[in-house]
Amino acid sequence: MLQGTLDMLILKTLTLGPMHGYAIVRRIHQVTEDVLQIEEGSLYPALHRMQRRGWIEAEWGTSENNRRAKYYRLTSVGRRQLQTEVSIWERLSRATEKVLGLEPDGA
Amino acid sequence: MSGWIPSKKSLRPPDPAKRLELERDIEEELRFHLDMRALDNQAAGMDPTVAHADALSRFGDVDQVKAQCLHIQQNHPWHRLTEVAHSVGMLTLGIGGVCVVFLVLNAVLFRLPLTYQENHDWLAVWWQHEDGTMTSNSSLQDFLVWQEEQHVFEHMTLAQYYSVSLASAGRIPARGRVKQVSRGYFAQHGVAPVLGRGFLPEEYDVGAAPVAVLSYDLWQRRYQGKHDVLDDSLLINNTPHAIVGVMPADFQMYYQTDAFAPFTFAPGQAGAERKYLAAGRLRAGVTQATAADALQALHGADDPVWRIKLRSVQDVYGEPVRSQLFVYLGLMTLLLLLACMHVFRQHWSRLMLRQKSWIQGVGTSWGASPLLVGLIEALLVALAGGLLGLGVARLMVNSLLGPLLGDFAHLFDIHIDARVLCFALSLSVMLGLAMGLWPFIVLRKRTGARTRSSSQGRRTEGALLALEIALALVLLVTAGLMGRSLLDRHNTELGFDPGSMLTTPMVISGPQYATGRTQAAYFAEVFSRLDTLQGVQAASLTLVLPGIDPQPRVSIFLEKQAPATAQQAVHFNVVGTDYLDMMGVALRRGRLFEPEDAGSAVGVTVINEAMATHLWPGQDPVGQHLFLNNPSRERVEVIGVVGNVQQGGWHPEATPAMYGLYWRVGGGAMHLVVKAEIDPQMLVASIEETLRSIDKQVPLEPLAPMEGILARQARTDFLFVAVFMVLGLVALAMAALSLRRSLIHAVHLRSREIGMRRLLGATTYDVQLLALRPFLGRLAAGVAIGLIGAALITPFFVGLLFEGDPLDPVAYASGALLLAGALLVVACASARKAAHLDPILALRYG
Repeated sequence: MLQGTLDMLILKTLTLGPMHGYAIVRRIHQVTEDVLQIEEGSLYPALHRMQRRGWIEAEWGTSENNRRAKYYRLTSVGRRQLQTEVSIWERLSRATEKVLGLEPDGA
Repeated sequence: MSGWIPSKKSLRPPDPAKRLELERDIEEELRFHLDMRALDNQAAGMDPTVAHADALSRFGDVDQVKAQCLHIQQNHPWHRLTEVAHSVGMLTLGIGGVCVVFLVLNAVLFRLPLTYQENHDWLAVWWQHEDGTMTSNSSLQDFLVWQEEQHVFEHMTLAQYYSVSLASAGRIPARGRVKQVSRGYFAQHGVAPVLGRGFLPEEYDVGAAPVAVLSYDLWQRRYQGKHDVLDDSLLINNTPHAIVGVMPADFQMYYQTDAFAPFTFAPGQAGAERKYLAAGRLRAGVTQATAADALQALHGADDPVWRIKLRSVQDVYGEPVRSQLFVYLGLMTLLLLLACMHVFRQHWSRLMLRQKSWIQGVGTSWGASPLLVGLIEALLVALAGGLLGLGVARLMVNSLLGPLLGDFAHLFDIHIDARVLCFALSLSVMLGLAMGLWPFIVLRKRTGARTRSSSQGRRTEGALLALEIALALVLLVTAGLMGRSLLDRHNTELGFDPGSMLTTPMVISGPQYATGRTQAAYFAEVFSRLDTLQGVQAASLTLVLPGIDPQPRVSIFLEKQAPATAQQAVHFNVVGTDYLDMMGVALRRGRLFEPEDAGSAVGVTVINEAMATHLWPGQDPVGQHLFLNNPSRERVEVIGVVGNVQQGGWHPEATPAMYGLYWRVGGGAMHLVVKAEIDPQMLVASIEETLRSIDKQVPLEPLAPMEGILARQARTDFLFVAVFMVLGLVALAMAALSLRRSLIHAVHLRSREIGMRRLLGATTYDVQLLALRPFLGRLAAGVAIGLIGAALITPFFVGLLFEGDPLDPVAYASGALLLAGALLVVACASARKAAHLDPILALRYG
């Protein structure tokens, strides 16, 4: 996975609402139909780093099976960061498609 | 929740309880993930064991993830930044303090004024009295003999400073200082005028047209640096002197000098009066001692009182301030040591924490590289501290020049040269290497003997803390002694009443005031006019202002025929008839001066109580006689004893002093003192007008209230002491911060033990005591070392920084109590946190 892609996927997933780490992983696997296989443990350093940067906030709550779980929520800074990362991603993917001839020039 | 900008809490040192909570949270979060994955696996039909193993395999290395999360949470970039800023700030303070003094020392020791740069063999003739005091005053008689007969100097010159009235055409005269120099003076110094020329040989002849060479400063001030100044003339004591040259800006004299004039004298004038500065350049191959012996032999080898000492300009300029500067350097080095220990201990604690993580296997990435990073970090921090410190020193040095160099400040051009830069950089690199390399070496050794070295590390940290406390105490005690000295001085009776007093220095000289009689006539006219001025209660004269300037000393004998060795040195002041009464100086015995004393056959003097006790203990000094150390050994009768009057400088103790009457002794440079019946400020204009109306050629300086002058002096003294007080308090704050960090760090290292004890029934009080006990020992050791250190060091500071007892128990006790009290409060507050550690968390995650 490209550097920074995981952050973008986590931020995008959290636009749906507060989630714990496991739910984030499950959602990414569901949406990508298990195409993006990430080592689940790598999610947590990313979550803590993003929390430190103020992109997301964490709060302890109760899970669907009644256990204590840590829920992450997107902050306004995180929303802006997501927009930035998505626009970068779009530019990058359009450029890649052009190189591969998947999109005609001037389209 | 934490954002990018941390709260104040995140800037505090890591709290052991918080770290344990953080570890617990991370572990619980990861455990939840693994359990949820295992449950989903089971729901998909997996065997529980396989489901769990699959969850672990999908997750990756749990311990590594935990360590990474912990590292991220604890190493917030802002937190690291504040830690680095803290270290840099400490080193800036320490290195800056040392650099301030080094900048001045560099100037005093190595950067002589241009006048003397190429004159290492230029020696001045000084005289050492048998009582150890030194004077640079030689007699014309001696000089003429030396000039004729000596063979040890290439050439000898004579010079004399004198205060004058200076004026240029159409300008109001001002007070100034002229240096009269003998033939070859400029040439011997190897410095040529920047404009015009020096003196021609014929200009030294008696009766030659008067000429003057200006100092660069006077040329700029009075003539705006104009080149046509050579067509102009300078009125020195109302006598026109043709300006023939201007000396370079760096040609600075011992005393600030406005102009130079040729030293002329009639052959009959060569007396034994000592008031000239003799100097010369040694011949090649002649040693200083040989030259001194040669001059002494010509003067009289058998003189039991005065021995000749030849002193280089570095000795002359450097000696009065060198020892004082080394004391400041020593104190600043103590502060630097304290700052280094503080930073070093912080650096060390961080490495110890990493070491603990490494031993527990939480992290797998700790190896040599973090230590290497630590070394680079230490070097960068030290360099940043050094450069910033140098910058701060440069900014501060000018404001500290006055207190550091006193009257010599004008002589030196203080700036950062290659030597100062090298000093600051090498100091920084050495500190950086010491901080970075030592933990590196020790921790590398530790891989083989972790347990033993862990306790060794704690001992090292404990010793560092005790030393920090000791250094802080030495600085506090020094500040306390200085404060005590200032307080003593403040509490000492002035011995006079400065209220409603105005004063101004007055210099009357020149052809019309060539004799004592004409000078006295001028002042008599001043007093008769001032007496009629409304609002003036009284007016008088004094040579030295009380409470501000130190009085000069004179030698006296108790018997006319006493040998030269029996002379005694006492302070001396010349005053007007009404001065003592007007100043409110208390009369203890006998009487004060009266107008008839001016014309009496026998000289009279009034002495202070200290002199009465010193010379005639248990006797009535009134009516006693003493003899002045002049060729005729003039007899003087003591007519009265007055209370002690405080003098300037750090001398709260009263010293023997005598007063002479101006109308008998004379003197051209006096202070006029006026006592006002109304607000003194309202009298300033009318007094100045009166003085101008008598003789507008006499230079007039603004009249200032005596109380204002004393207050300014007191403020300067207070600021000087305040600098050291602040240093002491900064040292105390450093020690307190170190103690707190050290205690928290120690609690973190012992968190498992604390948890176990709590579970086994230890109370919070027991745990507090457990956490405190090792620190009480370190505190006690630090205080003991500090007290001994202060007792060993401070005696060297007496007279340089303060007067009084260097072992003053009040200063020691208050310093120790302040330090111990403040540190105990900090230690108890920190130990309370240890007592509130959750025992389960401590055991599981500690």
